[in-house]
Amino acid sequence: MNALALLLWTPPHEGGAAAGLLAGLTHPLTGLDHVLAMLAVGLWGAQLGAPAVWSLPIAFPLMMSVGAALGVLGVALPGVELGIALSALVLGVLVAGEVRPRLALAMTIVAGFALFHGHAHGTELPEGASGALYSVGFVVSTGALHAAGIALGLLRTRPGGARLLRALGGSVALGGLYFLWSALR
Amino acid sequence: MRGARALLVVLAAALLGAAPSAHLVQTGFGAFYDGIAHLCLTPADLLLVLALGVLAGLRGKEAARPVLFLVPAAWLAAGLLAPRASGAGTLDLFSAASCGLAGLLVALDARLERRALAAIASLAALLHGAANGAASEEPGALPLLGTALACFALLTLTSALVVARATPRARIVARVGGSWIAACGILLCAWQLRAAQG
Repeated sequence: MNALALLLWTPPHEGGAAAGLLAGLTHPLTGLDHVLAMLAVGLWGAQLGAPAVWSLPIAFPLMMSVGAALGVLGVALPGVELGIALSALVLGVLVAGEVRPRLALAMTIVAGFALFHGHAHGTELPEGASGALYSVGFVVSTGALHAAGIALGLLRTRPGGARLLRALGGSVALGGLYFLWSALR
Repeated sequence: MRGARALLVVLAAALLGAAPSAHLVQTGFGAFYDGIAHLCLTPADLLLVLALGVLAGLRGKEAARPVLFLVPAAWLAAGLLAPRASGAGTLDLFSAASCGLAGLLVALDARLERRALAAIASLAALLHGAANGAASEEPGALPLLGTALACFALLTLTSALVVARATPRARIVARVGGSWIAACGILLCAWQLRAAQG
């Protein structure tokens, strides 16, 4: 633990590896559209229960990395901002409506949106940062957001929990609507 | 719990430490310790070893035991035999790909036979060892010996943690972790390809 404290104390050199990791860790958190969609994946997984509760957080990072790889390699993906905004809207509606599709369809929806999120991360590497560690950072941060969504989703077992989850889904959907309007303006 | 904490400290040290590179880091303690640090500070190598440790642990004690010894041995042998500066970029790409594949196998909880697991782990270790050896600027076996022993220690710690917590929930956590490693592997491949494009 002392070694960890020492390392965290050391300020990252500008453009160095630690800067890349920290940039990656914080990148999903700096965009509310990303945060809402990641949380919604966790919420929806918790609503659907096993095996979706862990299948969706497996599918999302994997497809996100494919989208990010495309971004890193300079392959264009049309409508990224639109796709991200739609992801928050659609996932929010699915949570609000407690929609229960087949697992394969749920994973397909989540994986499809993950491509857009990944592409955005892949094209937004800060100048001079370490690409490899930046990538590790945003994968870990994404997973952590899913876990937070799942943790919130566990409230469904409490009295009024199911209704609260649906309300949270509604809030995510409203956020998605705002981002969609911003993207289309 | 103490083992998990120790693992977290190593991970944090690795990921927040010096720039990841196939070139050896200079710890100032000598070539052997440079080799240990190299494993901990190279994402592709570190993630591969973690994935192999988890995969071996998921398959149980009997399957894990050969992996603990075959992987460091293969790593060391390949590192010693790889000619310097020969196709280092290509080897780095295959190393990243093997890291992704190992993560995917964990995510899928692949029911590998004992021999298949040993073969896959050895092959991955040969690739990474060769990549280390080809890119190493430090002569002699000491750095590679340090890397191989660090590999053994990390494999043992990781697989033991997984074997000790053989509950369905722990298995799911391991699989989710594997998907993260697979995702990182895909991205590491992309960065290697981008570097190759110039």
